Amino acid sequence: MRRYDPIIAGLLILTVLYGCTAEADKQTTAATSATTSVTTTTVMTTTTTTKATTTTKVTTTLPNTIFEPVKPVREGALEECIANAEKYAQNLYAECARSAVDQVKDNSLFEKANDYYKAGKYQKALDTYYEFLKLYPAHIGALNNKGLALLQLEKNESALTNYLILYNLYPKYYQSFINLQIAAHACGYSAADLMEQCDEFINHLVDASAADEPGADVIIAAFAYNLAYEAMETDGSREDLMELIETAKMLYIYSPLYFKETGEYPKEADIPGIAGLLELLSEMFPEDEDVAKLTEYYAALTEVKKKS
Amino acid sequence: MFHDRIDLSVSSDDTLPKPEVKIILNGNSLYKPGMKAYFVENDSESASINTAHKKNTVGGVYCSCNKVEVGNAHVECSCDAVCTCHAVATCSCNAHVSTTKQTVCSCNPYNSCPANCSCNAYTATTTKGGGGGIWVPCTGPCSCVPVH
Repeated sequence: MRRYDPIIAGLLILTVLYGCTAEADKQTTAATSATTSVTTTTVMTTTTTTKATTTTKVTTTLPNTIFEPVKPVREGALEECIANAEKYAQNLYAECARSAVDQVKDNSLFEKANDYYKAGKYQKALDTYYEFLKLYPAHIGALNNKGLALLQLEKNESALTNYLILYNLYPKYYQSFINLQIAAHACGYSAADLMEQCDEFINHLVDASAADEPGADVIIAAFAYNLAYEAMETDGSREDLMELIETAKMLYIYSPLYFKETGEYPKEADIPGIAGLLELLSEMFPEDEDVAKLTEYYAALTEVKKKS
Repeated sequence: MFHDRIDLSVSSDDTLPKPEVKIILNGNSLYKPGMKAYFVENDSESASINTAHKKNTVGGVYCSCNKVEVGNAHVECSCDAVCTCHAVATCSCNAHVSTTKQTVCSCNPYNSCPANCSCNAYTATTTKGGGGGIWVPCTGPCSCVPVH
């Protein structure tokens, strides 16, 4: 079985410090849209809780291409983003080391950016996160949320670079790994593709879980959920992704959360793959609508695949 | 413009917009939920994972250590360092005990081993790890040794 080795970093020569080009993001956006239309969308309805706005987009879907494997939207994008992030993080790290760790004295811009984000004004949110990061360049919350704004604006490669920078700066901040998962997925890569670069995230997630650190179980659940999401888009065809699924299951069933729920450690789950993970998540979160939806979705896709 | 992979349906204050992707399969309509995302709230000491109904708020305080190694891209904490909470960074020790506003880092043995390691001492009722690509908690202090 594959083993995930630590980072071997720093040999790449860079011409751009941070952020992939706007052109690259355009390519990502276009190709991601194509992927989306293949994998999911027939009708997309968007609503907000604050405004009664509905937009509808219709595309066509061929059932036998539902399990189209996720492929890199742009060849070499991951390597490029990794290199950019490492270089940028090193510069930022040196800068922060000189000025000591930031002590945030004024949080108002961050709050403003978050308000924009929650209102769905992603470009304004992004601009404001940038403004705040000029003052506090290593602010973990701003870096994290900036990545979400970039994703909402479909600047996927920039978002990927952003979360890789975050990883380089704070390799033990495992919380942001689930956002890195999303960014990578949007660029056509899976969590498994990231593991050789980012295995410290998992290491610290395990440690946090073992120490019953507040919130770790929620991150594990989200991590497992996202893995199931990714894996079903490849129909379990990615061996390394399926290994991660097994890892997630182990993480999950040995987490304090499970113990709290059941009062005992369970036997190792014997149901394989995506369905098993979804079943496990359903047991743990019987009221989680997302898990129910994803399970229903997976069952429907599987049914369609059988027929095709 | 919404990204269909992020389902920011519910945050701790119920104000995040919710994209919903509807899929029609065999004439039946289904919702495809998005991937779960992590959002840091204003005070930087709380964050939310968006789920449909459960308000899972990630609490806690993230600390940055008072010692760093320059020249390495990673922030490393030295043994027995006392970390002051800034609410902007993570504690980089392998174990820590949180109090309200201060986190004391220690270099206690790991409670789990990465995939390429195995516990060489443990007080576990569960499996010891190693070599299988799976991260296994040892249920107690253990030291990790490489597995070849």
